[in-house]
Amino acid sequence: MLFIMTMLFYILNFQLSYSINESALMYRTAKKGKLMIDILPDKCDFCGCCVGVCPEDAIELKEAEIKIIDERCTNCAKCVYSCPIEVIKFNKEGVLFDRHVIM
Amino acid sequence: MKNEYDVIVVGAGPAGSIAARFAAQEGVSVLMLEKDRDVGYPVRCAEAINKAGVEMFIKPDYKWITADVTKFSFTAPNGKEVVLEFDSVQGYVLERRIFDYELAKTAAAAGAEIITRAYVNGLIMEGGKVSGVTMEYRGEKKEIRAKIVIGADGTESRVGRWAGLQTHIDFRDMESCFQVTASNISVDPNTLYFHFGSQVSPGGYFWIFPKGKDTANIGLGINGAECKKRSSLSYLNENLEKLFPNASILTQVAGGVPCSVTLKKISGEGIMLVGDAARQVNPLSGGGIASGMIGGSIAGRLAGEAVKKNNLSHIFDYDKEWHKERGKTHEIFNRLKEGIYDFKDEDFNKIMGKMLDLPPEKRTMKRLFMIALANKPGLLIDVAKVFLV
Ligand SMILES: Cc1cc2nc3c(=O)[nH]c(=O)nc-3n(C[C@H](O)[C@H](O)[C@H](O)COP(=O)(O)OP(=O)(O)OC[C@H]3O[C@@H](n4cnc5c(N)ncnc54)[C@H](O)[C@@H]3O)c2cc1C
Repeated sequence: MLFIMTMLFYILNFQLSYSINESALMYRTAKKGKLMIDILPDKCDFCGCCVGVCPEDAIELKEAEIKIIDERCTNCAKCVYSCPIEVIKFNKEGVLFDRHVIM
Repeated sequence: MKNEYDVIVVGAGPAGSIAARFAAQEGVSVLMLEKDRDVGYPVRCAEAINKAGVEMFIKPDYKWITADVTKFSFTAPNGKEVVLEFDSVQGYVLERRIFDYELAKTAAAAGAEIITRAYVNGLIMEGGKVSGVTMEYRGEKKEIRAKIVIGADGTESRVGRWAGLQTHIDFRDMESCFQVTASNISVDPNTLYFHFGSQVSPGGYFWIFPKGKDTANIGLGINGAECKKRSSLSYLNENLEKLFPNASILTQVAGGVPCSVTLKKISGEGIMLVGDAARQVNPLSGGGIASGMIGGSIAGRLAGEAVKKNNLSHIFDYDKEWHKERGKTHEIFNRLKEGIYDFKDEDFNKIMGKMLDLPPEKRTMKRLFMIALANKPGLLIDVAKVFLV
């Protein structure tokens, strides 16, 4: 019971902390269906871990610019799991979640 | 910059610079393109390298060496420490922002042209063969043709994929890293420190590599399966707080080390991959500077020879040569790595305990592996192979 409450607390907490209002996010489409992953470019270190594990070549990385190539992304989430600094998030209807919350 | 070269190298890390140098030494025209503003910066590396790895390619110079390594320290989860000491210098901790620069200069001296801020965004393909690159250079799109393109574009490599090679690695084999360079700490300037355990760095290790007695690269790598649960950054923050609460942070970087066997195919029609891009990192240690330079030297030479002989299929020998030179050993290292990934904290504690029971003169690297893998006889044969060759 305590465990469930803790989980709930976490989920709510993360919802609050990462909730963003850019409705544009909601309409991005992946290879199939909605794009469920988002990179926070302002917090990114541009290290390339995510690009190295992406099976679809769906991430573009320049010197200090990064973006998902939406139409290639299959939402496999490997980039989310490998990011050393947790700046790749799950995006559900414009609300961003940390990896361990969704798992 | 011309519109056409014999060989184009994408990425000016150690592997790229050595590839460019060795190709240029064959007397062919070479262009090396780097997306970042500076060669050698940012440094996503703990900068340790073995002595022979350096000497093969450049004369050691204290302009870019910050520490001579004579000791290795291993700390178990219970805090027990084993130190292995050597009579002579085994390796160095580099200053890679200078080292990479100097390597690039050796490529330039051999005749290679180098350009930074040149972001390669695609390949020119003709009849299934790679025939050049497309790039953005100072806001302009450009096409440059080449007989052979060498992808030296690091852990984030995309060049190989564009040529149709399978290059992404399993996320569990990607060591997700975070590192700071910290000052106002106290370390032995000749010791590489490694810490193991589920609390400090699960599925990897936590390192302290000295750059003088009051400064060090302090970082860790954890494998993807662990990073899925908790980020590298959060582990590092915790370790720093515990061990070096007063550290001043001079640099922070994230990074990824591909710790796997080399890609199945590292050459194709008009394309070769070197260094991290080819997954040529030693998968056991995560060290990729020396092995990347070895890969680069083979690829560069073969590319140069292929152009000179006017026989481009000569580059297909690369896969075989690499496998003989390092690839085979990396397969063994990868099996050892997988054995070690399975270790629980008690296993590490037991191993270090057993090492400490030995008289100091018997504490060797080989013995450490032997003890570590005593209950995995198959892997012991692998250890023997590695230390015998
Ligand atoms: C945290 C960390 C610690 C490490 N510690 C060690 C260590 O102690 N010892 C060791 O031996 N190894 C270590 N490694 C591994 C080592 O850093 C790499 O193996 C090594 O840098 C690989 O060299 P490279 O030339 O293949 O690639 P890199 O050094 O990564 O160079 C690739 C270059 O290509 C450029 N590039 C990428 N894409 C493009 C493009 N599209 N267009 C143009 N240019 C592009 C990049 O900007 C980069 O400069 C560490 C790695 C990390 C992340």
